[in-house]
Amino acid sequence: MQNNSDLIKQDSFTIIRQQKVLIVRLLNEISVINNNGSNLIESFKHFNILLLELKKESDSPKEYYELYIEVYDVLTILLNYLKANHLKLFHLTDIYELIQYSNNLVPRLYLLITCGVAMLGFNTFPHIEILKDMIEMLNGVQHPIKGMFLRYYLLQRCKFIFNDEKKAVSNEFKIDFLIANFIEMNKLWIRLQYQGQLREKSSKLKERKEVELLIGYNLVQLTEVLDLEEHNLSLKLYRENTLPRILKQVISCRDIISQEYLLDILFQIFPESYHCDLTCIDLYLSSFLKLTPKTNISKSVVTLIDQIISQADQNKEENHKSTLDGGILFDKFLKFLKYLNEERPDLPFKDFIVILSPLISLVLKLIDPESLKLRLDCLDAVFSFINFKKRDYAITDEINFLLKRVFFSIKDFIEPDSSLPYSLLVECPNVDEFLLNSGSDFIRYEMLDMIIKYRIQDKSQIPLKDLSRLLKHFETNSYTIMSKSELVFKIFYMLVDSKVIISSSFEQSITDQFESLQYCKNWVLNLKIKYAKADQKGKIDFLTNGLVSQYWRLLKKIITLRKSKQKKIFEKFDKTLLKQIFKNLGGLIFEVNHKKKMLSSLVLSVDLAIQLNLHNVAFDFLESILNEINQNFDINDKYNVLLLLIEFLQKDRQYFIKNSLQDKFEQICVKVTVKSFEMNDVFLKSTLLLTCTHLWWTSDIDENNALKYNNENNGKRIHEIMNKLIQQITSNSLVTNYQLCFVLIQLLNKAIYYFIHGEIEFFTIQYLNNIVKLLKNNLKFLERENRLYLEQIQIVQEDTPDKDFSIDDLFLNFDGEIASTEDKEVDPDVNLINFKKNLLLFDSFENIKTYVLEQGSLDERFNLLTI
Amino acid sequence: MNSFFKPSLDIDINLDNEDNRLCHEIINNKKGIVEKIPIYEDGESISGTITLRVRGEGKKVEHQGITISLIGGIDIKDTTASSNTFLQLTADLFTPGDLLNTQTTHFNFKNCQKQYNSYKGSNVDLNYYLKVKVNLLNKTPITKYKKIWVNIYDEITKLKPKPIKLDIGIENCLHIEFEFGKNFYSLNDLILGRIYFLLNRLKIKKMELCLITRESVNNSGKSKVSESVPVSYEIMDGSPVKGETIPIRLFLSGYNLIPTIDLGSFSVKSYLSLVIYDEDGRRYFKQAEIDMYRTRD
Repeated sequence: MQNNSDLIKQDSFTIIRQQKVLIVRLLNEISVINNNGSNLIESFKHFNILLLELKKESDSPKEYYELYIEVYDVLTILLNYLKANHLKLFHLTDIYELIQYSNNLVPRLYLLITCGVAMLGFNTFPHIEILKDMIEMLNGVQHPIKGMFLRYYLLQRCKFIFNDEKKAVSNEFKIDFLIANFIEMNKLWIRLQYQGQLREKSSKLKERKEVELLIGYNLVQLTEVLDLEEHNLSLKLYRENTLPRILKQVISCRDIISQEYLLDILFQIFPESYHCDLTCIDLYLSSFLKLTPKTNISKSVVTLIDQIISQADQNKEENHKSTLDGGILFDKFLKFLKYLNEERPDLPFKDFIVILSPLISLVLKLIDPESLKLRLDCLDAVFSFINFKKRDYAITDEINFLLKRVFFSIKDFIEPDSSLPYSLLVECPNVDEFLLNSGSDFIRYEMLDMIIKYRIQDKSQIPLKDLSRLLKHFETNSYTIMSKSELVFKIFYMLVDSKVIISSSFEQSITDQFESLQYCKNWVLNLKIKYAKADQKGKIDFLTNGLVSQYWRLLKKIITLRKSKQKKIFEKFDKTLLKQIFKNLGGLIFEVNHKKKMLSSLVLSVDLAIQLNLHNVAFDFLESILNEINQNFDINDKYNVLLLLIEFLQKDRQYFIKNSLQDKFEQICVKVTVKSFEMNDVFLKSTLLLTCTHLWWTSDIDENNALKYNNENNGKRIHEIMNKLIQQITSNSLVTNYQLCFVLIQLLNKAIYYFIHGEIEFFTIQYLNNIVKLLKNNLKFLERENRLYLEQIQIVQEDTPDKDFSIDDLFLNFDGEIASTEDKEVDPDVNLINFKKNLLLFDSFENIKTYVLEQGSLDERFNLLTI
Repeated sequence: MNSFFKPSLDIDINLDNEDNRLCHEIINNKKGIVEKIPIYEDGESISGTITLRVRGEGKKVEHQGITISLIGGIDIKDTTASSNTFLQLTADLFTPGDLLNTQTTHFNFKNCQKQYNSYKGSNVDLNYYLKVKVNLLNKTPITKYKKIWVNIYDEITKLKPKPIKLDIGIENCLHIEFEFGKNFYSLNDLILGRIYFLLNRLKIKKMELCLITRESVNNSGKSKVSESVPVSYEIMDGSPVKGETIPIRLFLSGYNLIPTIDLGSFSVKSYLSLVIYDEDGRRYFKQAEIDMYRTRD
């Protein structure tokens, strides 16, 4: 079959070439005898034979095109001959008639056009009449391929007329002519779909695609005609004359391939500036509404918008003042969308969605950021449309994906410091709704991320009225809150203004910020109720803590005020508001599940209360802390909290004394000491208690850099605590020698401290010597342990490698364990560790000895110590 | 041997200015020659010279008078009936006497009426000829013929043309309207027209416009018809859809067409025929009669 058609094709080529040879011979022979043009008449016979090849039906448009090219070539010989010999050998009018005797239509018309075109080369002939006649006669060819190629032939040959600037033929006529040809060609092209044998639809489509350029050629010629005019006039011609007619054909042809192709090339062929004309845009949009159901409308709409945007870019590049008003354009497109929605309920959702991204780009590109603030309704309207449409469709993954893209088209435009995302969320209820209902958390996160980034840059606080809108987005499901708690944290951060501007409105601003904090507090509390079970990783605790620190920031601002020169403002400050803040804060802190954090926060809050001179608040907090420290509490946490508390109390001791709050303070200190005694771990207990001793002792330095004795110091109480500690550890049989020695060394250190700082009533030489004696006795046991260990090692040493007995870089931690200043690997041998621990203790004791000896030269009392 | 039976007299008929006169050409394919017959119009004088040459040196021919006739008649083929003569004009050339050597004389049928167009058809001819007759005593006369072709020019400027409009169709299948500008044409006229497709469900391959010449002879009650198609002109290629208009333009002067003849014994009529060929080889056609005239332009 294939071979057969190849043969036929080869035959056709052979015929064409043979005839060409004969024709060339006839037309080149300019003999005297044949000066009446009879050679030409003779040649027509051959032309007819040759042209019959184009009358045959070809297998495919492609093959037909190959033949056409060959024939075109030969017809060019004729054309040149006709032009060259007019009036010399014949008159073209006669030839024009003579040609028409050819019985076969297709050959006749090729000859007619060739002759007609030859006539168009002379001004003596009426151009318009000839053009009209040619195009009219072409109607006889109703066969799609043959007709299209004939009309294409006409276009190719008449090109010089269309490009002619002299306007021998008016541009209006040229446009009419080209549009008429275009319409007929398009009709033929569509007919190709239905003509001939019923073949596979796909092969028909392929055939149509092969010849689509022929149609486009009409439009290419049209632009050339329009180009001959000044821009304003050419635009007018396009708008009023050309485009409406093209679009009319696009609509009335009701063919999908044609509509899609034509709309596509329309935008490609004609310059962007034409498409941006408002009237033209109206024409486009109204014709899009009338397209055949299956035609891809959205593609055309998108192309149109792209053209407008690209024109706008070009204007910008060339620094032309753009006449494109983004707002007006947007309104047009929105109106179109709404019409489309009404008129075409059959269109799938995604066809609408794909239009939206470019539309958003249009708004963002064509409306400058300042004006956009007044036209946020544009963007809101886009999302309003989405929200509205979403109700009617099942939201598939694909839809979600597309919606995401719509949203990201905004993102792509946003400068890092733009306030747009924030304004969108706050001022566009539909954007807000879209985000809330979007199936994809991802979109929401991106948006919130952008907002938050901007706000961080902006450093301004988030007002209360916007807060609920923001936070709503985190409540939707437990996953959001769990995975995006950092974002919420950042929001919390932005509740409190970082700048401290002390002015008359200071109090008001504090009140406002406090209200926001309160709102968030309630929000967090609700969250806790709602998602307590889902919150495995303590993210809500994280948030609660985060919020607590914002309260602190707020309070610190007030402290800054208090410490500033404008104390008067602080004095006028509403103290009930302060108390209110603390009350709130306290309530919030108690919601923290993590006890250590909760208590630490309380301790820090007490500090703030003190700084704001709110003793009652401070004591309330302290009481609560002590109530909270009870038995069911991790020992290390308890230790840490107590230590923190002790250190804090110690720091503010002077404050309490100055404000005649000594009694109350004393009570608290006693309670803390009692709590410290309750510790089970010997090391932790001793550390805590020894720290506690400072609660009754303040060492001040006077102007001469000398130690100053403070009347409020209470050596007796310290002595009591120490004695009680010694008593407890010596009487407890569970305490090891090592533990005992460790505590005694600490204790000795502390005792020496008070001894140096002038406590003479209780920390006598006698007392110190007793401790040393006790220590020395116990150290002997440890020495023996070490000796035994070494002996044991020597016995088995032969088959074990050398052990590292060095204690360089090692020290003892507060919990009695070895720590290293470097990351040394600890030998897992327990005996070896104990050996080293002992060595370290000896070392510590040696240090004390050295110290005492050195002090002896400064302070005679030290010489009396028997170390 | 033949010379024995040869007439003793040669007769030549020479028409005045014959060499420059337009001739009607009849191609005789059998003999491979082209017969050329001089053309005359109605009312045009037919004049010429007759040359009579006596054969043999010094001989003489005794005759009973010599005449020349212009004869027009209709010859129907395959009939025994003699020619139906509608014209016979006779003039005497010589009164009875002797002819010696070579004699020349002139004749002139002045402004003679020629009613009909010459015609040469398949079953009937309409002929004009000149006949020179030398009457002999007690012998069959010696005759000589010369054909004349008559073209009648019609004056049609006063005729009012009526457009031909026809509406044809096959139910639910094809419906077309066609329109020709006029119902009569001159032989070198131009036929203009259009075809509108109102409905087409056929797969049309092409459409042709034909001009048919139909000759019908009425011979004692029997009629004989013969058709020829001098023009067959493709006007459409492919299958149009509804709403398409196909232009028609046909130049006639290049074809040998015959004006309409309508006599009692025979008629020659022309018809325009539109023929549609479909892809399956079927043909559909519609004819419309037109009148053909020979005009002078």
